[in-house]
Amino acid sequence: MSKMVNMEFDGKAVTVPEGMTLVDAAATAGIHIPNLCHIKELRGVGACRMCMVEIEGMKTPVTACTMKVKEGMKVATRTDKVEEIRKFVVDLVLSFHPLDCMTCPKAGDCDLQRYAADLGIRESSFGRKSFNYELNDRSPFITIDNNYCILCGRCVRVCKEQGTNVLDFMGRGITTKVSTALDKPLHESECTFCGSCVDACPVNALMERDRWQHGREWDLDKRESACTACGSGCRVVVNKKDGKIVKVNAKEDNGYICVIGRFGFDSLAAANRVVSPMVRKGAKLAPATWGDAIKAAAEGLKKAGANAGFLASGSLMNEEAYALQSLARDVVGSGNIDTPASSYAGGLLSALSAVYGDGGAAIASQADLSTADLVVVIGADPSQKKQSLQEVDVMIRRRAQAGAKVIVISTEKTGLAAHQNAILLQLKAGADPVLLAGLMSAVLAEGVSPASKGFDGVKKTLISVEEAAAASGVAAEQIVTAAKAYAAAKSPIVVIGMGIGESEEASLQALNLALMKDAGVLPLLPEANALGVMQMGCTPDAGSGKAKKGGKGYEEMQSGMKALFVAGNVPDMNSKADFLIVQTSHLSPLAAKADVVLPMTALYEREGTIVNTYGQQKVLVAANEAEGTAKNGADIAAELSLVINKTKGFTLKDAESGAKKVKAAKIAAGSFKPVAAKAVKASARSTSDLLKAINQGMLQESGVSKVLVVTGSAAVAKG
Amino acid sequence: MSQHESKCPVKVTRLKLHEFYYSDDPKTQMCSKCHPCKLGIYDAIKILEIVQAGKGGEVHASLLRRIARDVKDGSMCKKGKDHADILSAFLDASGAELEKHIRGYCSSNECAQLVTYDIDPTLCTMCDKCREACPSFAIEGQKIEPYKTGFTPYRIRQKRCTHCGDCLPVCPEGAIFIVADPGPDADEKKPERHAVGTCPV
Repeated sequence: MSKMVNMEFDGKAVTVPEGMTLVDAAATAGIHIPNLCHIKELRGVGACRMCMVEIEGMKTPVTACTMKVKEGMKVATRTDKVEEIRKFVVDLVLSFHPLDCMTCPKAGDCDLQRYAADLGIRESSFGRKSFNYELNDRSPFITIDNNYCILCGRCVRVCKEQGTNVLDFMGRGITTKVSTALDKPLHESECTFCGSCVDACPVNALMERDRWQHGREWDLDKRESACTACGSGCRVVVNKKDGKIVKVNAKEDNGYICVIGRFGFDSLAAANRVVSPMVRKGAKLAPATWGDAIKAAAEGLKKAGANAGFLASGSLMNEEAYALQSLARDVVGSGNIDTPASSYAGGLLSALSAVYGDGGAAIASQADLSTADLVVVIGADPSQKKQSLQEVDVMIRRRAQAGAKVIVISTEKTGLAAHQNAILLQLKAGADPVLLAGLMSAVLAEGVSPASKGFDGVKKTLISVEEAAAASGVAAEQIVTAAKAYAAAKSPIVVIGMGIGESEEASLQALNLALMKDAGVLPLLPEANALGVMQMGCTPDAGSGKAKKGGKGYEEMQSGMKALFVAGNVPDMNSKADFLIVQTSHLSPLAAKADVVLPMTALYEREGTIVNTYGQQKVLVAANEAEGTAKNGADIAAELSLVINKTKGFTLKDAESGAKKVKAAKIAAGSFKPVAAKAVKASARSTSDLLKAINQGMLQESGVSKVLVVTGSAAVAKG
Repeated sequence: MSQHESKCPVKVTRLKLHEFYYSDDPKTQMCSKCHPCKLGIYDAIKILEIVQAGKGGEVHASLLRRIARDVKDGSMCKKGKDHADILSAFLDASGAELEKHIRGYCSSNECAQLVTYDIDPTLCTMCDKCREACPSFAIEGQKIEPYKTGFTPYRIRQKRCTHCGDCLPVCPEGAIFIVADPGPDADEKKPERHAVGTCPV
């Protein structure tokens, strides 16, 4: 814990942690210090001078966004002198900002409007100026209207800080223009359309493309939910007007959500959305009623009995996953249930439970990236540009920007490895355990003595740096540099990606490395609820209670099943099942082959809970009405169960309470302290294309990839 | 004319601020980081331009005073504060001159738009030289011819005058003069400006 300091704002005493800025400290006392350029958690720049305050004992006013709290400080935030400066700044800004609040979509949420109202400035006393910038609305998602820009620089700073580096100032003085390099349209720049700049903009200079005349701030019905497009499960606010989603933004100040979360809501009403159940009639899938479809599916499953297979996508919610495994084990009587997640992350999760105890995965991953001073990224390529786990990339880049070191252990030169604070250990495929063993011995040589139990066993299996260098193809000096950085780090975090997730040995080695320094562990799972789905029992050997363990797994279920029930958007596979039931939101290639298609809710229509890659439980609130007659997966499973077997069947409520119980039990079973390090022999591993397929599928579902591909190629053609 | 040769404090101040604002030299240029300086100094330059163009009012003098005070208090660095000082030093030392500019007169006759030319009818010999010299046809009158009556006297149509001063040197009699400031308390200000076709004579 950091030290606390006592101070006063306008006579109000507060106790705040050391190192806080005055703006944030005042907010804890309920006092708002006006500002146009401050962004929470970012270093203040003191550009707008709106946050000037007077401090007792200081001659001149100071900016509260750059000033840190000090013991006994007495701050006056509303003196005549600072109010006059605020009025002066707002007055000047209003002299060149169009005064069309009556049509502006930002009205009601606009900082400039708020301060003008607070300070009582009706119109500028200075001469009206207009620079007649061209409206930049050529990009597919974001428009830039420089006429509205008040030059606060928030967008430029968030863009720089998260490593996107697209926006910057052009020119000087009042005619400064926020623009991309060479003033190109956004889609021809490196922009990933995450829209952080849109959230940061205090006015409407940066706006979503479709915002104009789609409701103003006070018209919007706001609901907090979480995005299920990837493992980050970012918190979002879904804004609706007249029952339609018009905007999605990040929940936290300076929070990040990616292009899929922000602009992917269009996919809910996409052309390939499944809006009603479908049953195969001859060569064609024909729309059917829910009753008929459920009956057909139930018959197929009943006939197959113990020979039925169940596949749960990693993006199902806890309730859906629990209901599905109840349906499989208790009602249909089949232990053949699996999720693709167990094949790409199986090794990692069994390694986690070996070291942290059962259910430890969720607890191990409660690592806080926002305080790390060193991040070790093993076998992962979180990337904004490649649209995979963008949020993690942003979090790591933010730390790196603040001076944290990043050690990248990968077979290729990833985007993160290009950062100036990154140390890249580029190894041969499959050499991770060997390299990690060498790295650990180098860390030991730096004088680190691990406190963890069982490390003596690990020590025996370590190999020298030279050996590791020879076997992995990494220069020995590089390993030593990385080891030195790791040994010196105060709060390191080890990020374990799916590049080694399949291999238990490599994962265990990575965990051992983390244990040396008691570092936080963050397993990166690309699907929204991969952890939860597995915890809920959607793995072949997780049979709960009477149900038998050891059913067929994902690979085995690809062929020879009498009936296969695929829930969620699972990558296309060459299914040879006699009877294929697909429960999906969009008509995927796999669904096109199905005998019965059951429509399910997607993205912001879903209601339930997920466990994201950080191990945090997120609650999804149905922010939008389901398209067509789509239903929640748990609902579908419950209906099916009652049709198959009236006595053994369960209701939606049973599924929800069951999921809750499992969750509580898993949390209780995991220990916050690692149990013991586990020795492993270094060996090679294999890789698969499954992850790529999953990522591709998520992109297609969101409907965003197409646009990006088109714009991307346009850039190539022009460039 | 550079600021160093100029005697008009309004012009000198404007040029100083202008050079600071638009300079390409990274050592002396404005850094463009904080709002009071970036926006305030720009407005000060614009206001001084307005005053020099003869369109100034009392409000501009008070705006300049406000800019000088708040840029000094609010700006981030010494450069901004220094230029606020330049502005406030000008306001302190040459407040009267600024007022004079706002009334429409420039002491050193450097602000072209504030220089008003007029013809002294007692000296004018109606030689027509000024009318021929005027590039904007702002002088009207009829050359005197023997044995003819009913001629119109020479005068300058102020609305059309561009204040170029070309008429001044061509007058052989020195009949064209620059109208002097009658002082702040004088009732009558500039010579009456007639709209075309409404000549009272």
